Amino acid sequence: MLLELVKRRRIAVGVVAVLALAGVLQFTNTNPAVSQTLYLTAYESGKDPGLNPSNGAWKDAVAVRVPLTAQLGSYAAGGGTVQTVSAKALHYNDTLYVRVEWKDATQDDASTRVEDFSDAVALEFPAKTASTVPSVCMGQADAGVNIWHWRADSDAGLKDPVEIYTGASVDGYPSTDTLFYTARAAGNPYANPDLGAVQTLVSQAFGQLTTSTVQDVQGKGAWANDAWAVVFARPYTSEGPDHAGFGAGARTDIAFAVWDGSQDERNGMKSASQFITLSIAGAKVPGGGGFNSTAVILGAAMLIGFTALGIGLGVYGYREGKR
Amino acid sequence: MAARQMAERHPGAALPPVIALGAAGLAIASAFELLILRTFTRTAIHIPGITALREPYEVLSFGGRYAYFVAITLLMFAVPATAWTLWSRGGPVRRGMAVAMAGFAAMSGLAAMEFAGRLALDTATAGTVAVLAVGTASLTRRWTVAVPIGLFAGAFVLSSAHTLGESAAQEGLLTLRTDSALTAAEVVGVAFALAVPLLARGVLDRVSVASGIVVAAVVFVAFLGNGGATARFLLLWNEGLSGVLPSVAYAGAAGCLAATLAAFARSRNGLAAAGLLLLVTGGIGLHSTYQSGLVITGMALLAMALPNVLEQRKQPENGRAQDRTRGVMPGAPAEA
Amino acid sequence: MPKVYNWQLGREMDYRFEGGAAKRQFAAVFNINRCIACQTCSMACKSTWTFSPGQELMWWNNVETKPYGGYPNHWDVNILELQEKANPGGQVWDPAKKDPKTAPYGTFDGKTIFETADGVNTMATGYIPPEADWKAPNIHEDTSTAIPAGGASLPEHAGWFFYLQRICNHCTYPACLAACPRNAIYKREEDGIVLIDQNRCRGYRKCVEACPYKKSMYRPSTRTSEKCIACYPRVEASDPLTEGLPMETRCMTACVGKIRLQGLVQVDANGEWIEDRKNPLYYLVHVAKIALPLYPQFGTQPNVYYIPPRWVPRPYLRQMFGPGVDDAIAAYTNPTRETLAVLQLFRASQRIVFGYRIEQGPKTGELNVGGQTREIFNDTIIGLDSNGGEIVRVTVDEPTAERPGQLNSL
Repeated sequence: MLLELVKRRRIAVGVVAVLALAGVLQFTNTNPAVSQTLYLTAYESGKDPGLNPSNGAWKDAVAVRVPLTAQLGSYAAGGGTVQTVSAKALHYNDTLYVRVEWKDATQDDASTRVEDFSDAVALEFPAKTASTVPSVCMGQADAGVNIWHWRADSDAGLKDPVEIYTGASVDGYPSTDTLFYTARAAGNPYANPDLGAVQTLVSQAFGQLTTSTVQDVQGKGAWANDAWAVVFARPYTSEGPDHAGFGAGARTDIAFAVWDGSQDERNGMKSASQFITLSIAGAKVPGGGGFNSTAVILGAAMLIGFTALGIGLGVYGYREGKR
Repeated sequence: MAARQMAERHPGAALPPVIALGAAGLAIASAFELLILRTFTRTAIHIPGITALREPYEVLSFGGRYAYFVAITLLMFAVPATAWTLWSRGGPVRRGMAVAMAGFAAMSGLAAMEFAGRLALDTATAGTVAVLAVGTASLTRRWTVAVPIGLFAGAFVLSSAHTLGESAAQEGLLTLRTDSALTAAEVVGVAFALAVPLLARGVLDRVSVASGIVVAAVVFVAFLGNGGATARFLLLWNEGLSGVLPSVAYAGAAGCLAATLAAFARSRNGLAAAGLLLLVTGGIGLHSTYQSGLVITGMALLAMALPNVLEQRKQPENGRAQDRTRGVMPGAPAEA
Repeated sequence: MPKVYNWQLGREMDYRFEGGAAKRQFAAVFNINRCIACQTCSMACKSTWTFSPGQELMWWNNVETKPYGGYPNHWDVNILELQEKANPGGQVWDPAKKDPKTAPYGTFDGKTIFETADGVNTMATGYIPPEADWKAPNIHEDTSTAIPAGGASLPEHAGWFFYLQRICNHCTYPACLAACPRNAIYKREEDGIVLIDQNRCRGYRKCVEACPYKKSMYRPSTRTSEKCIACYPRVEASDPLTEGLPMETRCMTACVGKIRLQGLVQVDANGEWIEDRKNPLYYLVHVAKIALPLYPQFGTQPNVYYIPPRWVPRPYLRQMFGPGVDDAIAAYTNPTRETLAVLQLFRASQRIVFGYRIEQGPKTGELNVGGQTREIFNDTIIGLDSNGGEIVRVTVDEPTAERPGQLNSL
C-alpha cells in the first residue's frame, strides 16, 4: 500500500515537472526541436548582386528546389501550374537578396486585355520569428506574415491602352488628370504607374492581406529561355510594422508562391510551397564548386553507419529466421 | 545469457510503467497538438464568423502551443527512455535499434546546439527510421508486420530523399533530381495506411472494423464537399501529403488507421495504439526533429508492442483473459 | 454556404453571405415597348463617368438589339449555356408553385449560378468575355429574326427584334460581390447600390467572371475593375444639382423615349419588398406585375424590371423574364385605370418619386384592344417626394395646345 502511494506521488511529481518544464519552454520561447524542412542558406556575396537576375554574383550560390502545390481549401482556390521553384539567397552590405527562378513558357507581363493576367511570384516570411511557424495561408491572428509580391506587369510598367494600341482612333479625352484614373486617385498602389515591381504586404488572417504602409522591397524580373528569374532585395532592418527582420546568423522561414498568367492564375489561384528554413550565414559564399567538407563528411559518416547497421540487423534477422 | 533468453522468450514483458505512462502522455499530447495547433488554429479562419470569437481562438491557440511544448518535453525523455528499454532487453537486434535511436537523439541535440549540420541530422533521421523498420521485421519475422512497417519507412525515406538531395546540393555536392520521390512517397505512404490492419490481424474485431468504416465514410464525405479541397488542404497541412491520389485512397487509409487503432485499444494493446498514433502525428517525411522524434518513438513502441499482439493472436482466448488482469497498459509487469 | 431567400425564384438559395444588407433598394422599371434605341442613355452615362483613358470599351449603360445583339457579345447565351451544361434539362420553372407575396412568378426548380459553382474554386458560374467581345457594343443593331412576306401582326410578330436597355442591376445578391476574393465590393445599406472599392480592388476580374449580366468591367489603365455606380451622388442627393432631394440617375433622366422610371424601395432582411402600395415601382412590380426581372433564374435577384415587349414570341420572353411574362403582357395590353396613370410618371420629373396620389378625371374615350373594350379616363397622377411633398402632376391625356394661327405663316 505504502509502496503504491510513493509510486503514485512520484508519478504526480513527474507529471507536474513535465508540465512545468513545458511552461518554461513556452514562456521563454525556447524550441528544442530543429526544423528539418528544406533549407536555404544566404551566404555573404563577394560583390553587390544588384537587382539583375543574371548578375554573376549568383553563379556560386546554390539553389534549393522547392515543391509547390495548387492552393486548396478556400476560395479562390486553384492554380498549380508551376510545380517547382528554384531559390537562391545571398546577403551583401546588410541587405538580403533572394533570387527565384521557375519554368514558364509564356511571358505574361501585360494586363492590357480583360483576359490577360500577369505572371507573378511572392515570398512569405513570418512577421516575427517564433517557436512555431504561422499559418502559411496568410498568417494567423497571433502570428502575422510579411509578403513580398512581384508582378511582371508592374515590372513592365503601366500604360494606357492608346499607347499600346497605337492604331486606335480616339477623338480625345476631356481630362487626363489623376482624378480620372479612379483607382489611382483612390490611392490604389497597383494603379500607380510609379509603383515598383514589388509590393510589400502584411497579413494576420486569410482575407486580410493589406498593403504595408512602408514599401521598402525592391525587385526586378527577367524572362529568358522559357523561365522567369526574379530578384528581391531588402535591407535587414525595416521600419514597416509586421515586416520580417533579418541579420547575420539569423534563421527564419520562407515560403514561395507562383502565378502563371497565361493559365488565368491570380489571387488564390496559384502554386504555393510550405515554409522552408532560411538561414543567413556569416560566411562568404563557398564559391567555385567547393563544398562544406565538415557537413559532407559528417553526413557521409551517418549514411555509412546507418546503412551498415540496417544491413547488419536485416542479415541477422534473416539468418535467425532461417534457423 | 539467461536474461537475454528471457527477453527473447517474453518480448513484451517488463516494460516500466513510467514508459507506458509517458508513451500514453506523448501520444495524447501530440494528438492534441496536431488537432489544435497544426489544424484548428491554422484553418479556423476559414470558419464563417470566427472573427467574432477571437478570445476563444486565442485561448485554444495558446493551449495548442502548450500541448506542443508538453509533447516535446515528454519526447526529450521518451526517445532516450525507449532506446534504453530496448537496449536493456538485450539481443543484437534490439540493441542495434537502440544504437540507431541514440544516434538520432545525439544528432538532434547537436543540431539544436548548432554543432551538427542538417545533412548529418537528416541522414541520421531517415537512417533511424529505416533501421527501426528492419529491426522490427527481424524481431517479429512476420510478413504481416514487415509489409506495413516497411511501407511506412519506405515512404518516410523517399520523402526525406528530396530534402536530403537538396541539402546535399546546399553543401556543395552534386544536384540530384528528386522531385518524383515526393509523389512516390505519397503513394507508398497511403499504401502503408491501407496495409496497417495487417498489424492487428487476429485482434481486429467487428467493432473496430465498423469504426474504421465510419471514419472512412466521414473522410470520404469530407472529400466530396467543395470538391475535396478542404480535406486535401488539411492533408497537406497535417501529413505533408499533396493529395494527388483519388479521394477514395485517403478515405480508405484513414479508415484502416482508425480500425487498427480501435483494434489495438480494444484488445488492450495500448502501447501499440500509442505507437501507431505517434506515426500519424509525426507524419511522413522530414519536418522537424519534433515530428521525426514522434515517428521514431512510435516505431520503437511498435517494435516492443507488436510481438505481444502476435502472441495474443496465437492464443486469443488466453491472451485476452490474461490481459484483463494486467491493468491499463499491456506489457505491464505481470507480478503487479 | 448560408441560405438566403430569393422571392423572384420563390425559394431559398445558396449565397456566400447572409442577406439583409440593405434597408432601401435602388430599383427601376424599363418599358421595352417604348424604346427607340437612340442611345441617349448610353451617351449620358459615357459623358458622365467613362470618358477617360482605359474606359474606351466601357459602357455601364448600353442598349442592345435582341435576339442577336449583346454587349459583350452573346453574354446571355453564354451564361445560359454554361448553366444548362451544369444542370442539363433541369433549368425549369414550376409556375404552379405560386404565392402572391413570396413566389409571385412560381418557383424555379433549376440551379442558380451560385448553386452550379463549387464554392471553392468559383463562387458563381461565369466566364470572362475576352476583349474582342466588348469591342462591338452595338453589333446586330436592328437585326430582325426574319422579314415576313405578310408583314407583322400581334400578338406575336413572325419576324421580330427588340431593344434591351441594360445597366448594372444592383442585385440583392450580387454575384460580383460574392466572387470578390478581396471583399472589395460592397452593397450600401442605405440604397442597395453595389460599388467596387477602387482602393482595395486588385484587378483579379473575379467579378467580371461572375457577374452574369457582365456589368463589371476591366480598366487596363488602372488594372482594376469598374462598374455602374448608379449615379449615387444623385440618388443620395449629395450632388449640388439635386438641392437635397434624391434624383434619378443620368441614364434615366436623359431618356428621350420616356421608358425609364427609377426609385428606391423599402426592403426587409429577406430581400423582399416591404408593402408600399403607393410607390410607383412597388405598384408596377408587385401589384400590377407588369414589370419583370431580367433572367431571374441566374439567382442574383436583379433590381431593374422590364415591361416585356408585346410582339415577341413568348418562349423567348419566358426564358428572359421568367414565367410571369404572359400575365405581364396581358396587364400591359389592357392596363387598369391605375396602371395607365402610373405609367404617366415615367420621365415626368428628374426627382425620385416615392409615392403617388390619383385624382380621378372624366371619361375621354373608348378603345378596343385585343377584343377587349376599355374606357379611357383623364385621371391626374401626382408624384410625391419622400416627405409626401408634391414633385410633379401629370394627366393621362397629354395636354395639347393649338398654335395661334398668325404664327403659322412665317
